[in-house]
Amino acid sequence: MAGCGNNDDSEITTVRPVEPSAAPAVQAAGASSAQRFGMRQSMADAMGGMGVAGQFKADMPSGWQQKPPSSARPLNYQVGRDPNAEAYFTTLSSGGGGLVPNVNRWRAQMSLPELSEEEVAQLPKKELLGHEAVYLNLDGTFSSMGSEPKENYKMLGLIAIEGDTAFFAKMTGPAPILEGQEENFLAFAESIEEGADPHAGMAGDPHAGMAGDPHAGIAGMDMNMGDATVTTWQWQAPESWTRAPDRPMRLVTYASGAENQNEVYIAELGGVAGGVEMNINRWRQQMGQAPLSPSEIEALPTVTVMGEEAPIVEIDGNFDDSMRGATIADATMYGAVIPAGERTLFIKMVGPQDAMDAEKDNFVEFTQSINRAE
Amino acid sequence: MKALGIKLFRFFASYGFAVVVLFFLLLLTLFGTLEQVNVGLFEAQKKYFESVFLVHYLFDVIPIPLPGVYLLLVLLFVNLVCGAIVRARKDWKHPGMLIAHSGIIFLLVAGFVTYHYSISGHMTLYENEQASSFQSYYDWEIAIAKAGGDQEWIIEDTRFKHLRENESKEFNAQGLPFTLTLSDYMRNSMTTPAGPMVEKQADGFTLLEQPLAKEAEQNIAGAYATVSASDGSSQQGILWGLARAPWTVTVNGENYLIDLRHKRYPVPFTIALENFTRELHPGTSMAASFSSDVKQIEPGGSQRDVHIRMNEPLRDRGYTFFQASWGPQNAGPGDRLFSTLAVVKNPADQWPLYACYVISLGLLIHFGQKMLTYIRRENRRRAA
Repeated sequence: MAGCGNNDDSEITTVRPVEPSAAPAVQAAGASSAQRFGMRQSMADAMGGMGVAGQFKADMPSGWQQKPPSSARPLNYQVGRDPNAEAYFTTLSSGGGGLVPNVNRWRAQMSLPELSEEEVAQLPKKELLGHEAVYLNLDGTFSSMGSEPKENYKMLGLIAIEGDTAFFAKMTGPAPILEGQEENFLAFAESIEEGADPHAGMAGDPHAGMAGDPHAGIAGMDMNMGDATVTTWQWQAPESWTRAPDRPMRLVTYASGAENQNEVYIAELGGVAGGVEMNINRWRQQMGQAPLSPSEIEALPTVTVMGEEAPIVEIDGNFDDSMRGATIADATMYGAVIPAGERTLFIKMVGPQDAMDAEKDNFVEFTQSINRAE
Repeated sequence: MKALGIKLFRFFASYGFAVVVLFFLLLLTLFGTLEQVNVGLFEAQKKYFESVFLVHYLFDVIPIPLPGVYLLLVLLFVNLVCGAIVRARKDWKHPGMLIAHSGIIFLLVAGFVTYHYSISGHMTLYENEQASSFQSYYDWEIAIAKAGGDQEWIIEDTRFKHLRENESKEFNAQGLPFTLTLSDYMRNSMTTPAGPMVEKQADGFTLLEQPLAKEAEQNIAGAYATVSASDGSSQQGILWGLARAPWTVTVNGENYLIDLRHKRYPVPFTIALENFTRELHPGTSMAASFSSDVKQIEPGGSQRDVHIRMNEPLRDRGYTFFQASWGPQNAGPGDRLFSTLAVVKNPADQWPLYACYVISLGLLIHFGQKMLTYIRRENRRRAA
C-alpha cells in the first residue's frame, strides 16, 4: 500500500467532543475485522450468543445487516442501507401449498402472470439446504400484503419442496440495489445449514435460549469501551408465560393470561435513554395518567436487580399506544427501568386489569431474575 | 479602452444576451433531467447544474461542450444588473419592473448563498434517543478517538477523497502518538475476505471498488489505513463506511478507535425524540401522516417541547428540522419505529420566499398601473 505521499497539510486540527448519544457500535473497542464487516460469521459468532435463530445458520454476505430472527424468519437480513431491501430464509410445513402455487404467488407479488406446471418445470435449478430448488429472478412492481405497490423492484428466490416441508430463500428490494446482489444471495443460500448454532447454547444448558427451556433466556449485547468482552443478559420467566415471536429492538417477548391477553417484554437501549423519570411518565401518558414529579418518582417502590434498586410502577388506566395501534380499556401496566452501566433495560407488562392482578408477583420475580450472563 | 468597456456593457445588458442565456438554461435543464435517469440525481446535479463547463454526449456519442448552469446563472445575474437595473429607464412613477427585476436578482443571490453556504443532512432517532448533531447523506469523515476518551480528531473527506489507487496521504495530530496514512480511497466499495494471492489486504480482508450507486446516499466509502507509531511499529486496516464498529489500534498500550462515517454537523442544542406518531390509511401500511414530538434541550438545561410534522418544521438559529420520513418501512404492528428529520442550515433559508414577495409586488405594481392607464385611455376615448 505504499505510494507517493503528500506531506502538505497533514496536521489534523479539527477536534470535537465525543457526542454522548453516539451509537454504541461506534464506541465499541476491540472488534475484529470479521466482526466489523459482518463477514463469514453468524450473528451469534459476531455478537456472542443471541440464541434465537435456533435451527439454521448461514454466512452473511458483506454489506448485509442482521435483523432480529423470528419464528417465521429464522434467518433475516437487511441488504445494504435501504430498509426496503431484505433477504430471509423460512420453512413451511405441509409442503407450503406446493411448488407451482408458491412460484405463482411470488410472481403475483411482482405483478407478473402465472406460469403453467410445464413452465415451472423449465425454471433453472439450484440447491437449497441440499434439496433441488427452482430459482426465480423477477423484475416488476412489488406488492406485499397491505403495502403500497412499489415499482422497479427485483425479487430473487429459491423454493424447494421436500416431502412435507417447503424451504424458501427470498430477497426483495429496489432493482438498483439488488442488481449487484445475485452472487451474494446465491452464496447466502448455499451456506444455509441446519442445526443449532453451537455458540447459542445447547438443549439442557440452563442458559440456553429457544433450543432448551423457552422460559430461560439469553440475549443481547453490551460492548464496553476499552474492553473486548461482549456480555449478554439472562433471565427466568414464570412457567405460565408463553414465549411470543421476537420483535425488533426487544430482547424477548412473552404472553401471559388464560388467553395470552397480557404482553410483557424486555427492551434494551443505549445510554440513559431519556432517564427513569421521562420513561415512567411516558408510560403514564400511555395509560392516560398525569405525570409524576421527581419527588414522586423517588418515592416509588423498588425492586433489587443486579444488586441495585430499580423503581417499579403499577399504573391503572386505559392503555393507548397509538403508535402501535394498541388500545386496552381498564388496563394495568407494570413497568421497571433498570440503568445498567452504559445500557438501560425496560421491562414492561400490559394487559386487562382482571388478568393482570394475578401477574404482579410474576412480574416482580421476572424483573429480579434479570442479570448479566457470565 | 472606454469604448471597449461600453461595448461589453451593452453586450451583457442586451436582450439578445438574455435570450441566449435563457435558451442554454432550458437546454441544460432538459439534458440534466434526462441524464438523471442514467446516473442518478446527485451526479446529474453536479455535472449539469453545479458546473461551469461540461461535455454532454448527444445520443451518447456526439460530444457537445456546453456552459454549466452555474456559469449561466452568473451571466444571467450580470445581464439583469446591467440591463434591468443599471441601463433600464428609471421611471420612479412606474417602478414595477425595476422592483420585479430586483426580486429576480435577489432570487439568484439566494441561490448563490444556498449553494456555497448551506449544509444539509438528517437526524434519525428512535423514541427516547437524542442527538446533538446531524449526518450528511453524502460526505464522509474519519474520526479518531482514544477509547474512553471524551474528544475525537476529525479528518474531513475533502482531505482524502482525491486519493486514488496507490495514492496515499499521512495525517498526524497533537495528542495522537501515531501517524495515520490513508490510501486507495473508493467512493463506493465493499469488503470481502482476501485470499493469499490478493496483493492489497488487511487482516484477511480486501476492499473492492463498486460502481457508483444512482442514489448517491447509498455509496459506501472505503479506504486502506496504516497506523505508524514512533517505535517503528505499524498496523494496517480497512476503513469502511458500513462497518459495525470502528477499527481498533493499540499504540503505547492504549486503544484508539478509528471510524469512517458520514460527516457529522454539530447543532448548538440537543434534540430528544419523545414520541413518534404515525397514522396509517385504514387497512394499509401506508402512512397518512406522521409527526414527531421532540424536546429541544439547551446546553444550560432549559428545554421546550416542539411538535414537528410535514410543513411545520422546527426553526432555530438558522437550523431547520423537517419531518422527512420514518422507518423501518416494513414495520409491523408493535415494531419500534424511528423518525428521520431532515436538517438544513441555510443562511438564505427564507430568501427565495422574500424574493417572490418582491417579484409579486413589482408585477402587481407594473400590471396594475398598466391596467389603470388602459382604463383611463378607454374612458377618454369613449368620452371623446
